[in-house]
Formats: sequence, C-alpha cells, structure tokens
Amino acid sequence: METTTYRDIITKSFVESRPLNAQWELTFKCNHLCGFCYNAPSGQRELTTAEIKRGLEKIRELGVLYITLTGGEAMVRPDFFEICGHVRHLDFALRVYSNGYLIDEEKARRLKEVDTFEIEISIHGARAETHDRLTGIRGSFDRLIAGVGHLRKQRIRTILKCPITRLNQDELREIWDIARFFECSMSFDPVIMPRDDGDRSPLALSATKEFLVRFFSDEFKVLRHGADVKKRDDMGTMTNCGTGKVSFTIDPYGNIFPCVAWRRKWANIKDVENLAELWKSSEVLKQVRWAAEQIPQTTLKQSQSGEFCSFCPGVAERQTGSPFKMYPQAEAVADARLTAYTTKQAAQAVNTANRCIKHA
Amino acid sequence: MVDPAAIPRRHRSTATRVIDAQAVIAFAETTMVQILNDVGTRVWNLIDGKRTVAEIAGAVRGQLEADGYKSIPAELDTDLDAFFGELGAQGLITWSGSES
Repeated sequence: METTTYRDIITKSFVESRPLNAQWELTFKCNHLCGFCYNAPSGQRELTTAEIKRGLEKIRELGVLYITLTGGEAMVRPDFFEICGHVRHLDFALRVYSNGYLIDEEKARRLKEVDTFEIEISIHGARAETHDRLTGIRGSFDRLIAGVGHLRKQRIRTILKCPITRLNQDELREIWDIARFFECSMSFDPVIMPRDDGDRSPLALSATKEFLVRFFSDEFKVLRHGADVKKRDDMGTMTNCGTGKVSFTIDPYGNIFPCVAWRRKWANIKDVENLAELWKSSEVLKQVRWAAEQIPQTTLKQSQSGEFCSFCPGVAERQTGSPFKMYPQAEAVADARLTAYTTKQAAQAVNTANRCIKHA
Repeated sequence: MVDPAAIPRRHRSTATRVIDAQAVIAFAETTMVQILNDVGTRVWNLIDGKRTVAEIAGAVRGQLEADGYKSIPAELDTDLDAFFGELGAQGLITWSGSES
C-alpha cells in the first residue's frame, strides 16, 4: 500500500515550499505568568470565532494538513472547543499546545471527542516549587500532572516539552522520569527566546553555559533520545530551516508570519482573499526563504561553532536587527555542542591510542 | 474476502490531504501517518460512507480507463480486496451494510 514515506512527503514539501502545518495563536491571554514567555501582546482586538472559522477555510484551500492551536493559552478561549470542532470539520489533523492547567477529566474527554492528533504540554520542573516558580502560579504543577493523567487516560498522544532554564536544569532527569511514568514523549529545548517585542529579559533565565556543555555530553544522551551531537550535514547544500516553507504562524490578531519566531508579517488572514496565490507570490516569503538558504553558507560558515549551530534568523533579526547576524544564545548553545563534541572526540582518540599502546 | 456489498466508511479520527496524487492520512487513533499510492488514493477518495465496495471498484476501474491507463491489471479486483482488508486491519475504515 505504501509507495512513499512520510519523510519523503515532508522533504518534497520542504523543497517545493508547500505548507503542511499552520500554527495558530488563538489568544495571548494566559493563566500563567512565565518569565521566559516570548509573547508580546499589542492590545489589538483578537479575532472572533467567526473570523477564525473563515480563516481556517482559507487555510484549507492551501492544502495544509495540520492545524496547531496554541497561545498564550489557547484553552482559555471560551470557544476553544468550537474552533477545534471546525478544525476537524474541515478535515485537518488537530494539534494543541497547552500548559495543561485547564485539562480536567471533562476537557480531556472533549479533546478526545474532537480527535486530537497530539497535544504538547509544557513542563518546567519536576517539583511543584520549581514549576510553580517558573509559571508564577501556585498549584500549576499539580494541575499539570493531573491534566497529563487525564489525557493519558483518554489515550491522547501527549508530548511533554521543557524549555531548559537555570532554575530547572538540575531536574531534567526527574522530568524525564515523569514523562516515562505517563508514557509520554519528552523533549528538552535548550534555547530561551527574547520576547517578540525585543525585550531580552527572558534570556536571564537561560541555562548556564557549564550546564549546556554537560547537557550535550554523553551524561545526558538518554534525554536527547540517544542522539550523538554531530555536525550539521546541510552546510552549503541546504537551507537553514523551514521558515516560510512547510509551515506558518498566525497571531491572535490574524497577522500571518513565516514561522513562530520570525514575525515578518506577510498577510492578515482576515483580509487575504487568495492565500494559496499569496503563499507563492509574497515578497516577504521570498525574502525569508532566500535568507534561510544563505545562512548555512554565510553566518554559519563564519562562526567557529557554526557547524553545531541551530540558528534562527527570526530571533537574530529581532535581537540584532539582521537575520544573518549571530546572536548570543545560538552561539552559546553551539559552543556547548562543539565543546561536548571535541571532548568526546579527544576521549575517543586517547582510548584508541591506549589500545594501540597495549597491543604494541 | 471483502463483501462487495459492504460499505466502507473512513474512521472519524482520520485527516487527509492529497499531495501529488498521494493521500496523506493522519490517524489520531494511532498517531500514524499513512501514505497511499495513486490507486489507493482514488479508492480512499471514493470512500464516503455511501458507496459499496463493488461501486468503488467499478468507479476506480472507470477512472483508470478514462485516464488512459492502457492495461488495467487483471488482478485489480484482488488487489482492491487486499487493500480494503489492509485499511480495515489498520482501523482506517469501519464497515456498514454487511456483516464484515
């Protein structure tokens, strides 16, 4: 029955700039007060239910398969499940990003009823004191754990994700254990982003450089799903990332961006008539795709640790004014990867030498 | 052997887009993504909860002929039978209109 793998489809969509996923920030309202949140509400009017439904119909014509509903906290919208229902009515696969706070037994059942494909829940600590400190809401950890339990009871695929901060960096193994207990997937993100308005205050919570080197060493290999740190294999041949290619992001006001991090508006979902045509002809999208293609051969080649760098042109532009300019967090994470890589290489060389001496 | 009078229905937890004549099916029950080939996609597109297996097979044959397929494999019916069986085994379809 199968002639092509899903990976083939993704690769082809990437090469041909065909969007498979739209991420929709339904609201910037949130029931948490995370100090590292990148959202920067502007105070404009957020879209109505009808506007969102009409927007989804436009996206449907573009051929997108996945709609990811996020926020803020998407579930604080009273019409959240009505929107989910419309997502499914239009035959999209539904993904949800949430902090889990509002997911009680009934909400989990309703998420199941709308055939949620998967849900990603943010976890910020293995203990209430850490998680609650980072979210700014007492009791949020207990609600999160209960919510994950309800989701798993409904057999909804649940992914826990943890932005690594200096406050939780010593609890990652215990967080991993929580994911294993609930049979959830788990991912750790070593990069904290500045706010969308350029405010860099979230960066103060970034993990320490010393810890990042440890995180990319074999000591934490299991938490990286067994992946070795290796050089990027796309230097000079591929584009830096999928911005403006396989997905796009819509904010609560309807503005459409190439991705969640690169907030260069290329349309507004309320106004655009032919989204498919604009996806092809937009000068903004052409620019960001071009920029993404240049980065491996320019920015990354010029950086000592560029081969180990997960570079985001959106963050770079926000932070430095240029999508090509290296920014401190990317460099810090890349340096940590490089250090871990060279340390391991050196250790392996010593082992090889010792074996040779032994046999000599 | 699938009953020709049986009516297949897509599982409600599927979501489909056709990309380059290949159906990409995201199935929330298993969180698997299934890719169908050209003929499989034609079949999938015809599964509407109303047509029988025999009607779908006839429509696919008609489409292939109309599209200028010079030689429609003699084993098409057998292949479709196996295909429906596989869709059923994977839970991607449910049945009505027969005891299957």
